[in-house]
Amino acid sequence: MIHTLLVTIIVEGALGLGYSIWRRKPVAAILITGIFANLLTQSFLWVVLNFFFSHYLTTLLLAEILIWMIESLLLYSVPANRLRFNDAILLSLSMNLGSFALGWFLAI
Amino acid sequence: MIVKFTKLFLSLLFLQLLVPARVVLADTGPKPTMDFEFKQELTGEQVTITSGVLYECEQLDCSDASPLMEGGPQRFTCEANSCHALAYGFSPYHRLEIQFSDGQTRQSNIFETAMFNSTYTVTVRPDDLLVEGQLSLERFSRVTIILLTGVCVLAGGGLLIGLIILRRSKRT
Repeated sequence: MIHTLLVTIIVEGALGLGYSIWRRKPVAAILITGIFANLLTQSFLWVVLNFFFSHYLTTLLLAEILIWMIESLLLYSVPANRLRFNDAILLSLSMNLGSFALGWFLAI
Repeated sequence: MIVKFTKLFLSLLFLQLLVPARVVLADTGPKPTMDFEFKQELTGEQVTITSGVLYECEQLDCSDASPLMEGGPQRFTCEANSCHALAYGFSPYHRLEIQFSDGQTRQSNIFETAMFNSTYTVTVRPDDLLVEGQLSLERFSRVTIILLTGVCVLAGGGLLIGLIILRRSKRT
């Protein structure tokens, strides 16, 4: 369990780290927010997929869009991240697209 | 604030421990699976699986059956006494066609997708296969699912309210 959670956090963490260094943003705050957001959104996605398993792709797509919004809001709302709303949206999108794209090709 | 944040973080981390590893890789897109455990009702020598096909159907009578396509991680694989399928979503109905070491190919009844991660018992009979879903919810009890949903709703609601309060307090 911890192993699989770590994979997601590592992928999104690496993207968050890259963004923080590139845009000179606080690394620790963004990483901690990302981890917290993932714990929340993973639980959410797991629940909805188990409930609506017969419409897997539709559910996954809608849930991922919602997760992108939630994570954007979280990243923006933590003052220590020093992110503008547009930055938070872009960062969340890149983190989620990165982990989603990797997961799409993995047998997990 | 930091103490509250830490407590919430640890609570969510603990929540993750309740969920089996194989289905939790959320943002990377967990995929539905099917597991088939075979038991034999044959007189004489026991047989083993040599190969198999999982047919996917949209129609109840499986008149539109087509094999589960292979692509990326999506596939149907078998070992001597079990089979496993992983897909980017399954059709509502299915049928198994398995070749055995006795040279015979047996077909199953039509069965439905049971859960996100379904487990089935397949009884090998002299002329066919009987697939039955294991609906005991042994992996996740209903209580666990309800608890998780409740926690998610509470956490999400609390988070939104907290964010609204935080934004308002920053403005004033």
